[in-house]
Amino acid sequence: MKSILRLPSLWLLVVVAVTGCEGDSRPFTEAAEVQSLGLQTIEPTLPPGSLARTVLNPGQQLQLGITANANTGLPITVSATDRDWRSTNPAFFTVDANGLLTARANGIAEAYVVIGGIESDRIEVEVFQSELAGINEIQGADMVERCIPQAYTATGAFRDDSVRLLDAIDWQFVDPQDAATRASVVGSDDATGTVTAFNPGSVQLVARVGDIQSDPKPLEISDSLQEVTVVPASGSAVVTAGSTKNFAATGTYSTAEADGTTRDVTITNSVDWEITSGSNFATVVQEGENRGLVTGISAGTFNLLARCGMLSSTPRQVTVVAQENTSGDGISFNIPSEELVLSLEFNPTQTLQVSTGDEFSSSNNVTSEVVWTDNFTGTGISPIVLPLDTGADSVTLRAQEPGSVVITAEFEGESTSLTVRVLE
Amino acid sequence: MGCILALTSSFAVADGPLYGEIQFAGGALQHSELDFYPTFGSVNVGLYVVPNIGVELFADRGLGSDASGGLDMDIEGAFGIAARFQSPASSGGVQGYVVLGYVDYTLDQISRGSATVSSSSVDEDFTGVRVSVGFMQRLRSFRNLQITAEYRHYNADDPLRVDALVLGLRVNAP
Repeated sequence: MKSILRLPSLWLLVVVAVTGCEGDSRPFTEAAEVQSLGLQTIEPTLPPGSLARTVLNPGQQLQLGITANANTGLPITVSATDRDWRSTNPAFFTVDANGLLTARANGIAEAYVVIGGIESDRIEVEVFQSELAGINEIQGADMVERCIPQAYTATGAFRDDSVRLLDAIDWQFVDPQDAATRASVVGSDDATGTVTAFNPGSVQLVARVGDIQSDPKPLEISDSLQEVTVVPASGSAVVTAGSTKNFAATGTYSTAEADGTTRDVTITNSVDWEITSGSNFATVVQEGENRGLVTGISAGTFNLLARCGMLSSTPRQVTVVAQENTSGDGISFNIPSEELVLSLEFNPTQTLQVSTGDEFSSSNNVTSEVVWTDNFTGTGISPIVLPLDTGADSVTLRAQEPGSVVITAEFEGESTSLTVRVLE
Repeated sequence: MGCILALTSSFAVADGPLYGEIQFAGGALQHSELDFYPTFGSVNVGLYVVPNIGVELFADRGLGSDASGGLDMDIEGAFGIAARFQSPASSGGVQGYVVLGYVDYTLDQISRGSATVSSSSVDEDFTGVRVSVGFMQRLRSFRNLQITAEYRHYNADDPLRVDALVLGLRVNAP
């Protein structure tokens, strides 16, 4: 036996055996994805605000995306990450698996992506080293309404006479201290500056890259916002202690016609949220994308308001009720994704279950008591047949027409939603 | 121990150092929540370097594809080298074995086209470990022949999984 263990070829085999596997399964899974989605065409996309001619300096990066269409003609959401992105000349630029293009050296090449054997159209990208000579006029609306974010872009004029998207703009107001009482501006990675105005008046916006600054763009902030209203995003103004509930803020704006007509706009993420009384019963998120999300702490009543600058909503009375079911927050489906794709041909049905808690648990199954609704308002046939066989521990969702619909399951004041997309 | 050595040596005397085997396999491939069951054949040729430990060369060839979810999957072919470790034979002529191999195999997947989506084909080579666990039974009438049955696993890039159930007929050189 010892002589066997001394055999070099045997050890070489063992070493090779434990080094794992080479090969790429992605083309197989992508082909299945193409087949199940009925994917017909794909196109690479440039960041928002991109120009017809894309020119980069070596070292610059650009995030590419994907738009796709199914054979039904409907657009499909397809991830741009972990894909077979390609450059026709990697000496000029490369594109990684997540669609991040990196300029390498002066030259012109094309970027494209292949998904399951389907090749996309191509995007021409030019790499040429040049210096910024000036910033062109800021593009965007001259009039801004309070608490309705407005996007602005600026392009750079380069010494090689090219006009390029700028990727590191510092957006500012002239006289920042005075402007801060009326508006704020935030820059993003895609060279967009977003202005959110709070109070009527005027400000001047400038775009700056290093020592180079654009001409100021005067912005007029209108006084069209008449009223701010706070409502629960769904159901009643009741929150269970230990769980969360979204509240929405709606702004009522007068129209330009000056005939007394108004329009309502959801401004949840651009107003300031505040609990004016009973703050020991709940908290509200005041920053980021979850603004207006209320978390119940203990049973009681509190007042919630939303404010846009000097204009506040009427305080909304919200009740926090004690937690009855200790299994967790809210209710959850037995499928982890927020989107379900069904195919009339391949998988027209899906079994659904609902439990209490922020993750599905079969021991807390409440499917038999769930009330099902959907948001289909069309005049034709809804994409899915809503579950009717309530009373059972599971229900069957059945596709009947291509399209998209959001279904909601509601149980004892808690609800959860699922987007269902039906393909041919 | 003495008994085991006696049995081993008796079969070692009966069998020469060379062996060959033909096999029929039912594959099981999984990805994207799809299951495929293609079939393929294998040929192995080996040499015992010591009693019950052999080194062998093998080659597979696809026999039939299987369809699922609008896709046809086929194990197009494979080849590689392996080390065989087998138990001494029982009194009934049954032996268990493990085969550890290094394999290069090719999978072929064809998407069936439709009125709006054109058909396409994906061919991809994978290299990695191939592991088999099985047993073989010596035939009473033909002492140099053994029938074999094994479970086989091919390493594959996640989320692809490749397994097979294999039946074979083995010939030991006198």
